[in-house]
Amino acid sequence: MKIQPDEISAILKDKINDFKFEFDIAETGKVVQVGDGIARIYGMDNVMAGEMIEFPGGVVGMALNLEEDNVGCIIFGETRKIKEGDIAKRTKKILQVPVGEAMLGRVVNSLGQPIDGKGEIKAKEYKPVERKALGVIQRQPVKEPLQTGLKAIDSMIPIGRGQRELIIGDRQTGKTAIAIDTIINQKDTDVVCIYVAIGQKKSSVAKIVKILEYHGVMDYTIIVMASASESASLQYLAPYTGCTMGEYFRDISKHALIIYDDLSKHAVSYRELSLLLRRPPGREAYPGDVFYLHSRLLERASKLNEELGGGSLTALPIIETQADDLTAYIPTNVISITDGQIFLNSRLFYSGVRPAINAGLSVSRVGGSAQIKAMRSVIGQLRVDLAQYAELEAFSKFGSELDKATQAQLLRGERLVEILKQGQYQPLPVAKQIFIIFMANEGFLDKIPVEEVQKVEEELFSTLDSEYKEFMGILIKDKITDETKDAMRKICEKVLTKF
Amino acid sequence: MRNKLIAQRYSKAIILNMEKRLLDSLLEDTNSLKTIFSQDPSLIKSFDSFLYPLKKRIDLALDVADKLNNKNIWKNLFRILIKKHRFTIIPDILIELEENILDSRNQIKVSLKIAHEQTDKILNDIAEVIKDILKKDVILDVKIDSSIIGGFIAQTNSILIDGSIKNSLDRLVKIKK
Ligand SMILES: Nc1ncnc2c1ncn2[C@@H]1O[C@H](COP(=O)(O)OP(=O)(O)OP(=O)(O)O)[C@@H](O)[C@H]1O
Ligand SMILES: [Mg+2]
Repeated sequence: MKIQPDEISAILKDKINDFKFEFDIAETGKVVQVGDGIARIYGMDNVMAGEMIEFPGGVVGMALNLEEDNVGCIIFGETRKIKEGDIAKRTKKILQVPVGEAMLGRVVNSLGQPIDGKGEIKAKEYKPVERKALGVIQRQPVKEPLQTGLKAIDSMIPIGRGQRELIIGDRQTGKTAIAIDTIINQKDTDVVCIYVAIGQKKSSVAKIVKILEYHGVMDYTIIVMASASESASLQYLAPYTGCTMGEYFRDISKHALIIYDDLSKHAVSYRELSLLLRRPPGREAYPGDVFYLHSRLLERASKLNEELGGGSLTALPIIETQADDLTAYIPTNVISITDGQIFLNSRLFYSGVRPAINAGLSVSRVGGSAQIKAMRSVIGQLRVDLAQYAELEAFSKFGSELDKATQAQLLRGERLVEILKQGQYQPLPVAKQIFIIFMANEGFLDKIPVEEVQKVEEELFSTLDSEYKEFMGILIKDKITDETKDAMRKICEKVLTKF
Repeated sequence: MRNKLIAQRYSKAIILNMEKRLLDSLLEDTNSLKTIFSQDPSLIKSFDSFLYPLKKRIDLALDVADKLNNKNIWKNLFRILIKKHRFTIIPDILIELEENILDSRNQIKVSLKIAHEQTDKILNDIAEVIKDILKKDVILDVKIDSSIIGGFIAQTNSILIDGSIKNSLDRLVKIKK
């Protein structure tokens, strides 16, 4: 084909006629100081708190401190690219991150950019990282369970969708393990998971990604990572980014679970920023608004009312304590904001009770109403029994003569502790949880030596799997009637004949 | 930066206590002081220097003030600044004063970057465009910068109007991506 010069000039003329001259008008300020991930900007009189600021070279920041004569700004990206005297531009927007289905299965940084080497994310929507939590009217009480697949939690400290349950304990007590097991247990459910890793080693996060992939659950999981090597500003931002991604699913009537691992490190990164911004330090050198830092984040977890679609965002924040001290500043703060806590104890952990949940100190303030009826009809006094056992056990160590009733209580307690133990990456379906708890509560295990209890459990599960599939399906549908209980007793007896 | 804030306060105090009709002459003073100090920056330092007795320094400053339109205002200002050992912020005060006076006349200083030398007519047209946006009469300070390719970039203290070809191209590239 030959191209006609006339045609081309006609096209060009058209284009030129259509050309609209547009200007970008931006409010600007001058960078007067920069360093340590912080910039101070002179000017920008009308800037909003939390507004995104653009620096030359495509670096973005966020206005955090609005002072009389300058704006303190945290920088996400390379501070080196910014010089004193540079012009910073207002964007009149709160910092936004990509959200949506496209994020699933990906590992992203605090700005929502992929860091897993799997290419670009084609997100259709962007949402601001900071959003006001919903009001009372838009919410409704928590009513559906969020199954963790962990016997000790689903039975004694049930978590509901839309709840905020704190996982708290010293280092290396299995906090992350609980979170990961909960994610694995959401396989084949309608719950999307978001794991926010704050200030962790990159290698630990890589390991978690591997495990999630291995268990085939990465497809419905998003990982937001701000590792220990990232700047304090990125670590500060990470949970809000994850929360925004979770809210997207909640707002389209879906269910999402978000894990913040962990908020102690988050508070530390915020302390660093605050000190650099010269905000006055308070208790433990944290700034005065460290409570608000976490309360506004955790308040965003919620269960929407039916008009808004009934979606939910459940939050499992993690806090690391020092020597089991729950009265330190950050732990007390977060305990008071959440709807309960799962308290992990290193003494239990090292004595082989894993997950190392301290039944006496752990509570779930709202999840009870979300627990499935079948579970409620078998657990009885489980939590109280365990707490009493823990006390008696200490007492019995004095070697004094014990009466029959106390001995029986000790015997039962030992077995309850035994059946609540659970290995990693082995979440259990509720029906099985109900069965084994029923078995222990009814005293079937009392005559079994403690060392054998786990074998009985295995035998029970394999019998249930091979012979009672249908029965197990019906079991969790409603409250357990007396007839069903009789049937369950029969099965227990049958299993025990082998021992 | 602290200086900036303090300078703003001085400038405000001066203007609030002036009759409106004297503002023009004050601007004239401001500009002459600016030229004096920019010609010899060491002058500012010497007013704050302990090497000379206080009285000498003040007398010298008063002599300078005598040459200006609004003698008394400048005399008072210089006296205070020297006594407080704060004369070094005078350049900041002058900048603020100029801005404030222009602002009171609904005028604004704009630094304008263009790619090539332009005729006065075109510059006037550009000034009109900027005036429309800022709702203020503009006083242009024109600089040539060929890196913007064409169009113009206008910058005031707090607003950037980017109508350059370079910006349009950058935007095109962004959309393409
Ligand atoms: N239920 C369990 N059974 C056996 N081992 C477990 C269990 N839970 C955790 N562990 C092991 O205990 C170790 C610590 O677990 P995890 O990393 O979850 O603890 P953490 O409290 O998150 O630690 P950190 O303070 O380092 O974040 C890991 O090696 C993990 O494999
Ligand atoms: Mg951990």
